[in-house]
Amino acid sequence: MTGYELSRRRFLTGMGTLAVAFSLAPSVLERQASRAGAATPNGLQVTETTDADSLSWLVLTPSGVTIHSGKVELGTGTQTALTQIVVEELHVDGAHVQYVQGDTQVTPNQGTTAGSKSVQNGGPQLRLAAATAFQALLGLAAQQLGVSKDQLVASDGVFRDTASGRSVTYQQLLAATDLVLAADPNAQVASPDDYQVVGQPVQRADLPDKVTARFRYVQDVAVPRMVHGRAIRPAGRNASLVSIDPASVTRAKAIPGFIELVQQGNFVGVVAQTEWAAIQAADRTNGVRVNWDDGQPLVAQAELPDALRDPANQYRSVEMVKIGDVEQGLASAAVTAEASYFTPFQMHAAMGPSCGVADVRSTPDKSTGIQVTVWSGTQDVYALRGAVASLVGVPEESVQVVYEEAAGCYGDGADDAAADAALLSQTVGRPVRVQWMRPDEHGWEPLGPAMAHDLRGGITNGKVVAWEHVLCSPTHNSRPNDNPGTLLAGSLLGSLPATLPSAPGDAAGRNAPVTYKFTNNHLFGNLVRSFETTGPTSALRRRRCSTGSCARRRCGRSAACRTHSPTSRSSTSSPPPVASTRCSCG
Amino acid sequence: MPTPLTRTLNVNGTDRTVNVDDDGEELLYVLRNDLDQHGPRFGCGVAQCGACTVLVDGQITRSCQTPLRTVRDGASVETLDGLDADGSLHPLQRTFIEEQAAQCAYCVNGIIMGAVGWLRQRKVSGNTSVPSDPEIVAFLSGDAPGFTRNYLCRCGAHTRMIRAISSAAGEVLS
Repeated sequence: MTGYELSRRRFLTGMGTLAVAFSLAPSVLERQASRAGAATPNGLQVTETTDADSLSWLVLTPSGVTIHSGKVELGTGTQTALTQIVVEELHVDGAHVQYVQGDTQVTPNQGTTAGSKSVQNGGPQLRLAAATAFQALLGLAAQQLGVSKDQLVASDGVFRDTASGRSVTYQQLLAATDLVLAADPNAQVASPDDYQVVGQPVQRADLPDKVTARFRYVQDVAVPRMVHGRAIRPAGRNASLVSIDPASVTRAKAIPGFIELVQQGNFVGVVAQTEWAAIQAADRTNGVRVNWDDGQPLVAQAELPDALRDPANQYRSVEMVKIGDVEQGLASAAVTAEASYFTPFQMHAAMGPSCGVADVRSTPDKSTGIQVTVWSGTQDVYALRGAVASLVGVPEESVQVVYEEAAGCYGDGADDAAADAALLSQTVGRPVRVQWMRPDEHGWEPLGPAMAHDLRGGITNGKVVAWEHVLCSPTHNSRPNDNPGTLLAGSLLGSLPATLPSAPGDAAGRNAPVTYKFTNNHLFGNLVRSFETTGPTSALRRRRCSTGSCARRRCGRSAACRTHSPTSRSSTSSPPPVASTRCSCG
Repeated sequence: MPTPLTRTLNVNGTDRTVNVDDDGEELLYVLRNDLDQHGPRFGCGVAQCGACTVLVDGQITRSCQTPLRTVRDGASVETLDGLDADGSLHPLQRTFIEEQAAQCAYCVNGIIMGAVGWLRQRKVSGNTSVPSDPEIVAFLSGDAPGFTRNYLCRCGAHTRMIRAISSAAGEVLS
């Protein structure tokens, strides 16, 4: 075998598993060990790395292949496509391939499932894992049949000796195998010329269960002792809690099945035995009535184009691209053009509002070490794990996040619904399911941020000779991280929202750099403060810069400043803004 | 105080009796949480998207806006869960797979159940012609005669859904 072969795993008690792995957490080891111990010899695993705690990419047993994918099915066919890749490399019948996805205990961390890049980025990892497993099986088959590897042809899980016609099945090989390999980055992969499955239209693996109502979305998750929660949201993004009407609490408590009213800071929620009772208890007319102070109004949409461009609302200006001299390019251009664009805040508006289930216990489970289990339609189980851990105050290793498919999300409130469930579960000591209602989704999901763009360009002889792009936008980074303020529940408890990015590269400006080689190319990202908090990063105070030095730093590059006319823009020769310092008067 | 209610519903051919604490509880929650039905889904909660659609006594019904007290005792309730109860896929289920007419498929319950109800009523009215694509579009848009509810798909799989409904219609209407 290759240099990536691991010693026979101390953790596997049985024979016959072929696994291509990632990190196996202790609890998983036990689970696998017990599984292996209970069963007859069965297989091969391929792990992510050679580390002892590396999780598996692939588990091959005589009864089939299991893919452990960190990239999850969001309703776009990722599961089917990634399975095709594995099936191709393994030369097996796809019907026997299971797809296990997004589980911090069993699937490797492949980062966020986003950006339409799951096949592009997740595919090669699984491809190599499958190729590693295939090469191992090929070696075993050659040994078994006493022939050289290049004499063997594999198809549908059978190796056949082209010379003698003798064959051996994967099932036979795996039944006598107990092997753990780390994925070999140099494993020989199938030639695209020989592809049978990749590139072919195949039916989606998930649709039959979905059209027959056998599929279980996160909204269908039910665990023993589970009760139902609903959040009671503030009256607006900047509202804060004033009081809870005592009579309304009495009214809610009289609802059959009512369990508890939870209030911490601006986070308010109810828990009840049944979903209907929770809905009623959270209803302003029939249940709990909270009085809110509306706080600062949001910037009106009609004012957003100006507000985004207002240097007083920007905490940083970053020169993302500086090639050549745009002013010179424009001056020499045969034709010049300029245009400004605005896009408002956009909601993702999932077909099914976000839903999460959480089981927060008072102590970790003795055998698994898990204290908190979360079921969520999150796009990143590992990121949510960190955020939930900090939200409920337990070590990250004691949190397990399990992906359950939601309605096509495109960036919805999945993580936030899970956080609601975790907070409520921690309070009532039982698993809680929180289904967001439609106003929760439309009012509180992370929005696609508003953006303003000002562009100028020059063309000579059909070539772009000058390109200038100034973009103004709040952060686009609203995904969870270890900061509880990245979850709605955490921010309602008072944690500050996500750290604002210091550069727009991975935020507002991530798609802004043009990929053409323009001679003169200038790209500015003006990072706008949040419009929805009153903390130090808020734009709501609308405080104007009054000092000259500040003004120069903020909008010294005059194109970044809306107050300058196009004429004055092009005539300026001010230095570019200082990118790395925050305005002292902001 | 809410009024408790006991109802017997014939769910996909089987009589099921439920007790609720509040007769205003919407049928959707009764079906999902008390009667183990997973086809009907919570989408908008205000009868505008179609995800919760079931057939009550054959009528297309938005179960999220149907208090249990408004459903007669003994009413027949058909859900997506029971559409293939005889062991074979309903033509619409089959053609939705054939046409790969879904992405996340959260809306598919509504679109299939709505189409079942619509095509059946078309047949009852004596019209057994396969509906044209514009007729199907009108139905999904809430613009068909007598069918004023629209059906949303957030992923944008509509064109395939139109093909799937068209492809199954002949069999459903025969």
